[in-house]
Amino acid sequence: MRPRVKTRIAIAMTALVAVNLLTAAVSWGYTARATRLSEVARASSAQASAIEQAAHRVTRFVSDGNSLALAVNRSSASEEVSARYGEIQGSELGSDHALQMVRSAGADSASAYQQWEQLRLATYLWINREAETAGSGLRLTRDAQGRYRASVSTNLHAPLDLAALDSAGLRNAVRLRSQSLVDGSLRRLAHDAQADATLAAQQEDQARMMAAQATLALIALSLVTAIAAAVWLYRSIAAPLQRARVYAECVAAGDLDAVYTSHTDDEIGSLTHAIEDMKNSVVRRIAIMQEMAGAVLVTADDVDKAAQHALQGAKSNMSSEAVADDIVAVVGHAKILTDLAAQMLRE
Amino acid sequence: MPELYQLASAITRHLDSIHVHDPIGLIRAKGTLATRTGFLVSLISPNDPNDPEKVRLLRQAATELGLEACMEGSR
Repeated sequence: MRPRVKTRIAIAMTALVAVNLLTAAVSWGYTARATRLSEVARASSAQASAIEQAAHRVTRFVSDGNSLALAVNRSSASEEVSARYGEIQGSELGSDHALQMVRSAGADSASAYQQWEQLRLATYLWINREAETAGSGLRLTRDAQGRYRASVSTNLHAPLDLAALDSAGLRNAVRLRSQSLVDGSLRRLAHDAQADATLAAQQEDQARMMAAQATLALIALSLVTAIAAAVWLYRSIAAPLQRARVYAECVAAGDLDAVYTSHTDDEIGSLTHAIEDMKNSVVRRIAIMQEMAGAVLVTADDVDKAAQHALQGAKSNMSSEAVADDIVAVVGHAKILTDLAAQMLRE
Repeated sequence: MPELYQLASAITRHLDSIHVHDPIGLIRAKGTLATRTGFLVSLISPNDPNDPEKVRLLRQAATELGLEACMEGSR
């Protein structure tokens, strides 16, 4: 069974809305993915930048450690030693902060921080050894809050691998630890972060391209769907209505022999059936009127003949019975006509 | 379909065919049929019950008007 007109319109509208929703959903999905990847790329870039910053700070700390150790070794003036100590304090805090930032940027930097702790201890042990050798009263110690500060005594204890080393050995240990941290761990972390950023950026570009392509494809699909829906609705609604209109115009112009053969089983079919029923009703009523008119003509002829006969009879002295017979015949014809008119009016 | 409707249809079709170029003659013929039978033949529909009296009157009127040929197929 053919769907009703309003059902067809609903189907067409639903198809259009569905395709548009699909287009919006696909486009939104790819765009959201691209946005996420953009954020990943940004975060990875920030991570790489933080790692580079940390490497720079650590290198600065090592340099300041060298300067302080040299100043202590040369028994430099206390002002110079104080200045160098102030510098290394600043660079130590900067390095520590930078490595904390690396960890908060999401890098797996636990091992790097541990290396930093070892480098810092080795540096201060080396400086203490230089001060001891030079006969200086300066010692670097660690307070209860874990901060390194200047003092007259020290509570720093060298681990086993550093305990037996002299100044040169400790200086070398500092150099090796610095290389392991900066050129090893931090460089590796920076490389990984940059690779992640590059990959995320590439994937973001791909996602944006896919979003554009999918959107274009679905716009084309939406256009095709709209055209197909329009054609379908025209062929299933407008064209049958056009045929029904032409049929009604033929009937209105007097072509009562016209027959409608394209009835459909929907609202338009109901309309065309109604038009055809109306035509058939008109044809029937015309036939009834024609038959009634014919009866009137025939009766009028009979009445005229009877009247002529009566007139001739009156002129030729016809008997009254004969005249009465003529009148009775006329009355009879009139009664028949009256009966026929009553049948027509009852219809 | 009832015999009355079949007979009426046959007679009407026959009158239409013999008076195809004479509309006034057609009207007169139908009028004569109506006055002879006493009822309007055009009012007979397929849903009307079969009326033997009307069938008899219709056959008689058709015979009087010389329309026997069209009644052969409706018996």
